[in-house]
Amino acid sequence: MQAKKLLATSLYEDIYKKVLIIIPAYNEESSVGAVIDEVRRSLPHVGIVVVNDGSSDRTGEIAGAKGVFVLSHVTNLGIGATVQTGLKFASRRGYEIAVQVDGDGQHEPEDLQHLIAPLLRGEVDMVIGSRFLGMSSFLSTAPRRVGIFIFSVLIFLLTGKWVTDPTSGFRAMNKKVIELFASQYPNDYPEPEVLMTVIGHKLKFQEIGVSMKPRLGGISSISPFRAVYYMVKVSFAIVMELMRAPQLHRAAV
Amino acid sequence: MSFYILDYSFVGIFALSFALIIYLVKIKRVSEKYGAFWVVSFLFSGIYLAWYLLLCPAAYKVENRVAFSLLSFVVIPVALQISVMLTVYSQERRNSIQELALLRYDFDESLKQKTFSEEGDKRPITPGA
Repeated sequence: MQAKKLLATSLYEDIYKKVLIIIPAYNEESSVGAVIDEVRRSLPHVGIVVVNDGSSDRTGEIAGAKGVFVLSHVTNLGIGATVQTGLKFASRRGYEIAVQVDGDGQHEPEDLQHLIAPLLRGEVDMVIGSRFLGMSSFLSTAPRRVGIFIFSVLIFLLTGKWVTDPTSGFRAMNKKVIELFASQYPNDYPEPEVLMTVIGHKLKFQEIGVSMKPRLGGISSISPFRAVYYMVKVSFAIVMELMRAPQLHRAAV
Repeated sequence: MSFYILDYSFVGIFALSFALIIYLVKIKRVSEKYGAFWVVSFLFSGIYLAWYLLLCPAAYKVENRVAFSLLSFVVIPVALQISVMLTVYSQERRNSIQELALLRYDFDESLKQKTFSEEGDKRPITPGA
């Protein structure tokens, strides 16, 4: 009985050692430490990499002191490039699953296991944490929710797939998706585009209800002016992604 | 009458440029950021031009049409070329910074390992161990 328990524990550890948590962070000194602690408490055996996107504060230093992998961009590149650096790291180190968790502390690390489970069972290629399917009390501002709804409608009209939260940055992906996006990843506000690429490649994805919390610190990158740019750019990118042949991505992998 | 050809060619340049931008974004030679900018610019300049011609028919002169067409011939290709160059530049910059971050990590890690192994060599050998 004891041996069986030990074997199960060791198998559990082995499985989770193949999981990498990617925390993109830009000037998140007030929250990054707490996020790392919470992830560790929830999943003690996973690898954690903080991608410090040219922060001017102590983000990298704090993450380094926590004993996790820290990759530092010499200058700010934006969220797309930051997540891609994490995916390149995951690809080169042979991780089987990568999970993106925001460094601002809005994601609930306790949801990580639910996010990873369908990937471990091999049911899907990507799992998206949706704040509109869960019992989350924090749902962001009304204009932002309207924007998210517009993207959902646009994606539905173009692909026939209804996604409740296409802008969610809380995502888990398997090896296939890691390799795909390690070579090419959209630039700014990448989540809806990533989703379109996944659909375009006929990869399977699933949405799971997650909780969201208010930011622990830092400032949101989306100002009113940037919101307009965001809507135009992402809508255009969604249409372009649909027009783009999947072969283009395959050739790059 | 013959200057109608100029109008058609002008519309042709617009349509061709629009199609070219879409194609360049599709094959990823121009990033979506610049693509979205150009599409919005085209739409607004088209609306503005139509409005201008409707309200100021006196400005619809041969000289103006020639000047505008020539300007389009020069400005549009130059702007497109700049978009392609900026896209390539930003992509290369992004790749270099990412590779630098990964290399720096590998370097720091191997340095750490080397330091530890050197420290290990200096440790006294315990007799009988």
